[in-house]
Amino acid sequence: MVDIVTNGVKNSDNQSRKQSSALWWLIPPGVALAWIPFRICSPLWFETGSQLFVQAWVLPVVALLAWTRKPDWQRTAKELEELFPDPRDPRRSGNMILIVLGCLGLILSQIALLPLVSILGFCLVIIGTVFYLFGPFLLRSVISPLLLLLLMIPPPQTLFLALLARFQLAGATMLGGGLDLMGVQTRIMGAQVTIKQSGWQLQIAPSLSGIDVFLFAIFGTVSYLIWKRISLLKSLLTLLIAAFLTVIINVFRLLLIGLVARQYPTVANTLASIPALPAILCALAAIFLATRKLLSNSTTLEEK
Amino acid sequence: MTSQSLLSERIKRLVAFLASITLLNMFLSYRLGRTNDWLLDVPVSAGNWEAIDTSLAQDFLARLSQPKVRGVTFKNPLDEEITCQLIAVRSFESYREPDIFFPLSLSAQRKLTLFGADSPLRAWVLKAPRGNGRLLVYSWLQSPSGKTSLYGEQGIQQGFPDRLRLGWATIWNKEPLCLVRLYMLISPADKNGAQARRSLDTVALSLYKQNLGNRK
Repeated sequence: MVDIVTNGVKNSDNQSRKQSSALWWLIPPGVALAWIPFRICSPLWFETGSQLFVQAWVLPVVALLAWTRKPDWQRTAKELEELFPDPRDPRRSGNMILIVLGCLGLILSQIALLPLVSILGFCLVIIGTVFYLFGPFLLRSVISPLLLLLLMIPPPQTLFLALLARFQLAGATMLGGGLDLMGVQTRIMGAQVTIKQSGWQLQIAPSLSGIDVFLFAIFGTVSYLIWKRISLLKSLLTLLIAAFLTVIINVFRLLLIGLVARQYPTVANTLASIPALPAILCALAAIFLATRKLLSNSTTLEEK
Repeated sequence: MTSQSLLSERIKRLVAFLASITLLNMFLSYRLGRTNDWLLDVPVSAGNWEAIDTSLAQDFLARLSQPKVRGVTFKNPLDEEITCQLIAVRSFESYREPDIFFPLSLSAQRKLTLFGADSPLRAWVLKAPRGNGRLLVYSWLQSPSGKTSLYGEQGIQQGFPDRLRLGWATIWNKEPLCLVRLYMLISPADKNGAQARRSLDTVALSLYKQNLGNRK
């Protein structure tokens, strides 16, 4: 009896090992295909002063989030095997339609160099592969991390530039207003703030607008919510808190520069040229601390 | 058939499909990138227009995805200027218009046969939204054999079908292509633009003839 059980376990281990080793074969063509959207979109992500650098983080974060769903995946796979023993059952395997559509998108994007189509094609190939090999039920257990891949789609340039301009103007207004409240008289012209007393000027450039901090904070929060599988209502509330805190932190960052500029303009100029990383870390920490209680008491989707 | 063997079979099928798509993409990538280093030779002078090399703005080049380019300004004794841009077209991005065109709107567009009936070029008149500033633009694509062709239908705004058509044409093109763009301001005194047209004709013809059947 013990032998039968041990052999059964060994067989199942061997099977899953064989499955994983067969899946390795997908990596070379997968990487070659992923190169197409990467080649088209990387100039947008990695150019100097790019505010869309956050998009380069999406793929590794999605891979990590999908990996965290492993226990769920294994449990569902086992249940499916018991409920539908026939491996050809449509609930245990899908068709190639999504993969074909995705590849078509990748080819089109290669010819016409369209970042939007290339990312959509890439997402379809990944989602389609899971659907084709494992069926709709197993796809459902990883669909929320996979849908996060859509955040790699570059926003329309006109829309993004308009949003950036809003952030710059709002930053200038809040800096000018904040300094006025502290008794430092300022003059605001567009996105430029001048301290009247010393004549020191600060142009709220895209790097100071806080849009990169905002995007990173929202992306970090969304990833955390997906990881913890928080319900929709609480997720929306958390996102609102995250957006608010990010704006506050960016105003503090600008105010700090403005206040330092009163006494030490050179130091303020150095502060203004520091990349957004410290502000991003502060924003993520503040969001985590502020929403910890809200999220820890919540009933997760998994528990439901 | 067991679950394991079915999965293996599906993985094999998928790997074969993805590998064939990868090969197709490699082919497309090679065809799209192979002919991107050829530029026209610029004559030292064209009539009474003298050629002076000028560099193109870095942010403009970045928007074009850093192709091989050459910028030349033709000047005449009256200090009038014709701007000439030569761009070795690498991708659709290479066809993007210079910044000066953006605030302007298309006022007229014509196909000219200055170099012969089967060697067309496109002429546009761009107009400032306010005031009476006008710009005359000549543009065409030229191959080392002297063949010219047009690109884009509307001149300034080019959408998805244009991108696809240009990409497709680049894949099947046998020769490299150089995009030539010449433009000058139409003087307010030059009511119907005849003077500007004569000037651009002189420089365009000189450029075209200098590069007939010339491959470097």
